[in-house]
Amino acid sequence: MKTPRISPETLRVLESFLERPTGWHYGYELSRETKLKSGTLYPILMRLEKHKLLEARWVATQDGVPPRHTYRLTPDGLELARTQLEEARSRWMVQQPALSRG
Amino acid sequence: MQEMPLRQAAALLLDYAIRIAPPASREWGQAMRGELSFVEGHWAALAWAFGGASVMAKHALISLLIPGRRGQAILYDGGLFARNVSLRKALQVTAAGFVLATLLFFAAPPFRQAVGVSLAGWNELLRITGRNGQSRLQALAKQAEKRRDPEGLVFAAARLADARESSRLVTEAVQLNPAFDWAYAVVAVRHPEIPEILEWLPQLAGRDPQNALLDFISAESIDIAEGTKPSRRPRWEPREVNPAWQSAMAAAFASPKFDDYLDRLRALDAGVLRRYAFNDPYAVLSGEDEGFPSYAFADCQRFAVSILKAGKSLEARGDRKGAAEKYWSVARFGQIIDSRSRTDSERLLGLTLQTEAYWQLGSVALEGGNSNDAALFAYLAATFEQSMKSLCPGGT
Repeated sequence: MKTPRISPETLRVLESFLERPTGWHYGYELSRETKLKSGTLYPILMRLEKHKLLEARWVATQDGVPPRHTYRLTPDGLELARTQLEEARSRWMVQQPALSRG
Repeated sequence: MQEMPLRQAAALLLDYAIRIAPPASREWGQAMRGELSFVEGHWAALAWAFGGASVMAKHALISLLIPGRRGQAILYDGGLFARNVSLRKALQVTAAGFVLATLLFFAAPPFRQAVGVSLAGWNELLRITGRNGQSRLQALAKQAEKRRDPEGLVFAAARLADARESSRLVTEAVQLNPAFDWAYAVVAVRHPEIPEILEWLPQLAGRDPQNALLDFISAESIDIAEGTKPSRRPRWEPREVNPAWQSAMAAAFASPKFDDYLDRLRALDAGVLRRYAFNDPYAVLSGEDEGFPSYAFADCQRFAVSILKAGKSLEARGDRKGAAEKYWSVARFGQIIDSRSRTDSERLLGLTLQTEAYWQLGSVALEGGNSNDAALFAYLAATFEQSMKSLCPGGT
């Protein structure tokens, strides 16, 4: 069965996670890297977390500043991210000649 | 200078959004709130807060629309691979829903009827429902003619603004069933300029000879026959009193009853509305606001004044009994109108006639040395006057 296409925004988020696959990422940092606004980014994170592809944890900060939520991909999430990015790159490679031919 | 308030506004916005969000989504709201402190630039912080607030608001809205999901985290697009549903798309769907609901609102007959009721109060200004109502009445009249249905014909004739058409339809209805000849009076009240009224009156008088309404119609016909367009002439304009008009009004004041036939009209309404699926409430009501002829208000006052003046003349000549008879005729007719009144205007006319008559009767009784009767008449006059004031507090 053909795997449904993942949204381009989600791909950008997964790509950003894969730059430091085992590291924890802050939401604002992901937003800057992917150029996604909070209103787009967080629903993606919520869906990934719901599907157990992402884990989240709270990190204490200095006094007077609210704690921060940090995220990293689970092993399943990493596998999915790699597969999807690979597929996306393949599709891009296939499309390139067609595009260059106009 | 204004940067700190911007960041504070952003924090407040997100705090509020977190409060309205469903419990399972609040953690994510807190996550966005936590990041807010690290967003560089106050305007960027505000934009961040707006984005976060929109997510929370969307979740709050969905939890309201789908109450069963209120306690759960909301994945409004069903799965990871489905496309992300943006707020814009959600708004578009909502707007489309509203447009569809609006179309349904105007398409369904009960809703069209509801709109008609809502606009009825503005009809005089907008003239919308009246025009629509007239075209619907014409359509109903055509169907009634095809079916040879006298009830449908009377229903339309009593409400159509076109006098000639109204006259034609009521004539046809009475030809089909002579028992509907009372409808002549209803049409005559609505269209006093119809020449056929002079032919209808004898038939009406033969069936209902004691009804003051027929005398009013007769008096108005005489008034109209006096000149080219006397009905347009102001009624307070001094003019000679036509003896025929005076005789008709005297007959009206001597009549023991007043029947505008609206009860009979209403009795056939229900059947007609059902048979023809007629659902324009304004058009239905338009036939029932002409019970007491509008011209009869002025005619009654004009005639009552002439009787009271005649009574005064008799009083001056020492004929107190003759004067009292004049005043009684006004009081009695005022009582008939008052007891049959459907509107404030009719009630006001009845009260005015009674007030004036009882004051004069009190005066006659006092002159005759009958202080008990004088006190009673003064009490009645004061009571009716008080009722008049309560009807129109600003009036004189």
